[in-house]
Amino acid sequence: MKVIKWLDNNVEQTLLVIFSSIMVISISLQVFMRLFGSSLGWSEELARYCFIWLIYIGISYAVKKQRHIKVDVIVLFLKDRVQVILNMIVNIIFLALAIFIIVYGAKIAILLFGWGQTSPGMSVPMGFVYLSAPVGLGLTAIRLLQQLFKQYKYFKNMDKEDGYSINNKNSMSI
Amino acid sequence: MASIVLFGTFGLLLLISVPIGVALILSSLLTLIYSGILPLEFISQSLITSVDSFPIMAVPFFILAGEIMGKGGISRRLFNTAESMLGNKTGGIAMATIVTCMFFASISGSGPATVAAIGGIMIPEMVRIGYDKRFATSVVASAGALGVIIPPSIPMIMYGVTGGVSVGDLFIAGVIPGILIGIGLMIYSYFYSKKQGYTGNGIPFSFKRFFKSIWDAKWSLVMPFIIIGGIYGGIFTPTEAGVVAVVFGLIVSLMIYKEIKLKELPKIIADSAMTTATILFIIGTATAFGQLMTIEHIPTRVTEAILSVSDNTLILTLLIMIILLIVGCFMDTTAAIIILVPLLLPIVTELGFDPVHFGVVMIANLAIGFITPPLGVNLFVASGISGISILPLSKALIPFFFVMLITLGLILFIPQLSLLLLGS
Amino acid sequence: ANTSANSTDDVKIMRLANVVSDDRSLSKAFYKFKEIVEEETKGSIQVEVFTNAILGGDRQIFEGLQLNTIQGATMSTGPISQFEKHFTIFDLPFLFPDEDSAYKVLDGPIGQELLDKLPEQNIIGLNYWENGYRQLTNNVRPIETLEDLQSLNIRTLENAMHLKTWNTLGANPTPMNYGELYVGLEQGTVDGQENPVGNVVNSNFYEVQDYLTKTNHIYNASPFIISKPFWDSLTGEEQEIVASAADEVMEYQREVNRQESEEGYNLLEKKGMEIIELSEEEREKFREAVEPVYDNYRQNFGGDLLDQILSEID
Ligand code: NA
Ligand code: NA
Repeated sequence: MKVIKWLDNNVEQTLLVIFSSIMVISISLQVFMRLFGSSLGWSEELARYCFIWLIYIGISYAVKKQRHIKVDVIVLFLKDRVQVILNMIVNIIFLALAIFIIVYGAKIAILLFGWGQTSPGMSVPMGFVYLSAPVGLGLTAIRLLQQLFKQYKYFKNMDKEDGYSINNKNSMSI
Repeated sequence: MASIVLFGTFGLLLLISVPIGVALILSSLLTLIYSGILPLEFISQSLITSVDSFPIMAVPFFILAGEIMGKGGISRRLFNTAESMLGNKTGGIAMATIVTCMFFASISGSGPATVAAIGGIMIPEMVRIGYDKRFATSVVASAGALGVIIPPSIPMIMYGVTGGVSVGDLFIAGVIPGILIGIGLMIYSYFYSKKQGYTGNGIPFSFKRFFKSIWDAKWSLVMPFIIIGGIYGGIFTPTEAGVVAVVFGLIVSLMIYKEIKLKELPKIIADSAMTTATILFIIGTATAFGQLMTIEHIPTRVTEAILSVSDNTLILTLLIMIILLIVGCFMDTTAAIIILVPLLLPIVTELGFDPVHFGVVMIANLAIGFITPPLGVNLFVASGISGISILPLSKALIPFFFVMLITLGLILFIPQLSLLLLGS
Repeated sequence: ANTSANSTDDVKIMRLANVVSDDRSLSKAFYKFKEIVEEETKGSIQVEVFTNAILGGDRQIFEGLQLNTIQGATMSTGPISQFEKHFTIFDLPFLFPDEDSAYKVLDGPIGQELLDKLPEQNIIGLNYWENGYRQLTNNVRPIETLEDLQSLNIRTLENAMHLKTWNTLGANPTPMNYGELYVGLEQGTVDGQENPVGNVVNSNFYEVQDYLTKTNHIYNASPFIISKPFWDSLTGEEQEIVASAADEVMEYQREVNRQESEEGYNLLEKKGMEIIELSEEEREKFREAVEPVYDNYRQNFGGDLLDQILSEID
């Protein structure tokens, strides 16, 4: 249980910090080595593949933190109850998409493993790169289920005690 | 029909507040299922290949660098410099806030990040000395748009990658227009302050104080020269410049200013990675959406439709500007760039625009959308900081909107403002 | 929208993709192929052309063929070798001394043998079009000898054999993204780059490069490849039409590409670039210098195919 609790709290952050650090270090090395006249053949590729993994793990983290970019003006005009229902519908739509990507993303990754295609710089099987989407969206699906569960509980409680408002300020972007 | 499915479902999903990335990919998916023109694998393949790009990788680096420097005590020092110059003038603190945003914009590539970094300090400061809170919030919300016009700039990276235009050239081209918009906002703030009787802080200008504040802020002020100088000195590429900014920011915040502790770093890194993911999710999905449009020959049809409106270059130009303003109200900047650049670039090239100049114009236009409802990212962040709700804040922003519109006109009709520093 | 309605009927949509600009010989060849195939099949195959990386880069296109999201393409053997290792051999430096020896090998049994390996990748290879010889440009000095090359920063592909080649030649190979290359050359992040002359023209590298040396170091063959699921969906008659159109277009494309290269050199000279011919004897020195790359190749892939090719050329 302890492990699951730790994972629930930290899995995305930990991976994101690892991928970010590798990206910064390998591109720093790339600049540094070039200035000293000997370029690296793998640094860009390593950073790029970490970047792709970072994106798909980050999508899950952004679901956990409710920070995906959306247009939620209409939501602001809705009653709390309707807001919660709409939020649940949105999460279910997202979940359906996540399942699609898990299935089709895994399918492509498996095909690529089968065709034996490798990357030009480091010769890693490209399947590993393509696994990022189904793995990241797998985590995302778990996060969505957690939220749906919370929202459902909240919705049930609304019947009992009315007038408590849910924080719906979840639009944020850069 | 396929294009109706594509745009119809996209609009509907946006309307019910589905995340933009989800809306882009689901509408593409439904189009494929409806039309059967491609196997569904197309979508999941595109999710990877569209972000497998070294130039786009500048985005996470500039986000991380901005986050580190925002938290690392840089905003306060930049403000002290600006205040030592302008503090004793009428409306001096508002103008100093705008200058601080310009300084910070030369470190950060993002609009809302600039609002967050500067607004958190400056909105309370302005309110404390008696400025109207809505005015104070509006100053930061609008000046935050400079974050994407003064280099570095995440939307410029996206424009460069999508349109095949040099990111380095776009960066340089943004310098003068950014300063121009800053000056425009300062002029308006001055007259507004004069009317309201917002006098200066009464501290006479002194070179001693001025140079001391510059010296205190030297590590922050030297940053833009490292980024731009590094790219143009042939030391590194724009993406590598992002990494250099990260490393430099880390050294300054951890070791020189010591305002970030090592144990706070993981949270900062994870948070900026999340911001990266929310943007890149849109890039990854918008690419599939865009390619479907291409396969359906939509760009060609849109081009023909727009060009058939008139033979007059001016009318067509204004039409495009209005379309962009409307899009900026409703759409995320990144998605707008990826979807619209392939549509608009052929048209504006035909109209005689330089692609670099048009990039600056397009981004300045979309940046106005940062402060317009319903989707205005600066609006959201500034409202979050000050606690003023969206509607009254939007009203207070109306004069700032027009100031930005006027400067946009100048940038549009005087290409030299963008191209002068490029020497072309 | 019309096309999508048709695709469910008996009309087969064939999307062709490449990453070169619309006016290059490889793209012109697509349009000619479209003309022939649509006429000969009386419209039962409808060809749509997407040039200029509209449908993605080489990797995305190749995977698109595997997944049948794209039906036909040409791309250099370099990217193909990431999928089918045998094609690596064409990246050996100074392998083909001239076009005719390249044609002799590629159009003969050896070329066919290699194409026959592609169905394992879910792809059908029909024949070899071309992007022409790769040449070296730089803005430091005219490269006339091996010594001139020493310690120059040359942008290369992120490809082990290319990196090794430029290392053994004494340069400092620097992988850099093509999208950042122009600015990199302009700002001196790298001193030079190597690409077929068409790329030098199309990407305006002449604005930021002073010298071009006709090194002819790698002959870029561009196989015309087709999605196997699409190929299998064609009738025997349609397959024949596609294959013979591909052969006809190949001759046309090579011819146009030669003209285009000539025009390219003329344009570059007019734009102020100095074009340098490599002397026969200097070229021999280059060839000797890269011998370690050949040894390395033999170690990794064995020598059979290489020996076959070398004996065919002699
Ligand atoms: Na900026
Ligand atoms: Na807006």
